Amino acid sequence: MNRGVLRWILAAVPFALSLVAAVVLLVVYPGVMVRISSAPAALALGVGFGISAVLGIGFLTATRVEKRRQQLLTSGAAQAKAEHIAFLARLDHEMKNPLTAIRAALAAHGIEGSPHLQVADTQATRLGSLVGDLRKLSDLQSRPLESEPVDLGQTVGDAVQAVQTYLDQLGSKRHFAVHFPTVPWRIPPVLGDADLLYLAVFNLLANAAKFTNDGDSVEVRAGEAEGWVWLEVADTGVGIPDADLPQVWDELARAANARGIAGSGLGLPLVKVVAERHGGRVALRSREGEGTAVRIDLPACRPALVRPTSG
Amino acid sequence: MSQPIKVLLVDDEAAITESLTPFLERSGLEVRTAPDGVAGLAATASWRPDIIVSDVMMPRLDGRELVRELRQQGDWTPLILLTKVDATGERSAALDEGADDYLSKPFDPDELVSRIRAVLRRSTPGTPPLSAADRLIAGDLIYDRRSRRVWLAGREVQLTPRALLLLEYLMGRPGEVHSRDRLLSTLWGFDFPASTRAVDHRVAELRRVLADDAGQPRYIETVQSLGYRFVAKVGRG
Repeated sequence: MNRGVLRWILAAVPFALSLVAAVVLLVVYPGVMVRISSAPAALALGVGFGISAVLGIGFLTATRVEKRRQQLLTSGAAQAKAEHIAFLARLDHEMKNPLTAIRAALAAHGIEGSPHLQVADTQATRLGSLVGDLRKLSDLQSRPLESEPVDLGQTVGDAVQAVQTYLDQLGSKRHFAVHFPTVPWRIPPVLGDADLLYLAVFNLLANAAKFTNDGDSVEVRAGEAEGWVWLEVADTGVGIPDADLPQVWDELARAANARGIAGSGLGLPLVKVVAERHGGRVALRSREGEGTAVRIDLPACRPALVRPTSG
Repeated sequence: MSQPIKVLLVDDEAAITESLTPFLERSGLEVRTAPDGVAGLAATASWRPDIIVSDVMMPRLDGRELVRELRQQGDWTPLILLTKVDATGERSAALDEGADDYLSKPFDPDELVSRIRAVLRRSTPGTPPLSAADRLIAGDLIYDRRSRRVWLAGREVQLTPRALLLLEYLMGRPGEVHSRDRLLSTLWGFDFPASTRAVDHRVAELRRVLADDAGQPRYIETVQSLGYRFVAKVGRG
């Protein structure tokens, strides 16, 4: 018998007993009356207690029901995520042999001098890297992370330098401004995988550079609050249309005004995965035509947790 | 003219063997194929290929079982496994079990040919490669593969796990230039563009811990715009 039914039966027991007692009393003592006298204060106290007890039990039950509902929702989301990852693995697995065969067949035939075969080869390569990237993204959700204190200031410095070198090569210019407070103390490090955090920060900066024009500004700022370190990359770029905002964190999602700009639609999902793997979260604000700000919140590394990087 | 390189291609997918065989032959190699690990073992014994290129997932005997079986028999025919690039655990297991290299599908067919030539350049027929030795010694530097411990001039040094993996990989393949991209996909399991800085950081860590001067390297040399090379002579312990 399920627990719900059992509970109702249990709840009905006092009533059933009182029913039996009433019948017995009616038969044994017909016409007998009992008068109960009470001080009004005691009566008020009794009534108050009774109502509180009923309300209290009601609230307790409601809280438990809500908690259970949340648990079901969370496990549903976790399951959907697991299924999504499994799907990407299958897709990758099923695509890699055909793609290998296509590229080998084209290479065996020789594509020199045939624009058509060159198109086929380029597109097979592109398809391969697309599927591979999706797979890499899903692997990031489960791969083991290194854990060492990471100075985000240094990570940002390196990433800004890398993006600037790239822009210089293109002869393009952005105004970069980095603000990491050092007073009254420096931003604490975060505990995590330095390489993946760099990848996330680099992606944010590369996006900022990609969706801005010559002379635009990119600002990187950071702060700490209640055990968290936050990092925001903001730009005065093209922004994201309102209609596209809900999908920005989805794989392969690209905004309507991003179509002319090269990209995979995997940058922001990667940032999100990296942040979440570190126990953090992400947020994005954007106005089309004005710019975009993406923020990562990461748990700060407490001094007690700072260990030597080795071991 | 020297004999063409004999390649045994082991894959259960006919589309792969049928397309790769003519390509490899066009590149001047002699090719035979086998549809699974059991047939691969038999062909290795009868045909004595110079190198085996094997898929991983196959019926009867898979690619990793094939490597293990060969190595247990004392057969050190060089072998390249065609494994996924992204399964970090799978890859290091492949290298640990005696595969000489690996390449993930889908790959650039030309890359396979250059990988075949590179593996053959560094291997001596019939002997285990350095990368399979339990202990590697380069002057003052000792690396124990089993315990994953490193000693410099008799003193044990501490390295992060990725620096350790990088050192093991470089010491096992001395004298070869390894590109950052290749090191990244081999040892980190990810090759997102722009993440090669990760490799530079670990090389910097190795140099710091091993007191190696980048300008006058005893161990790790930066090969301008190409990658890194382990320059010291490496022996087995």
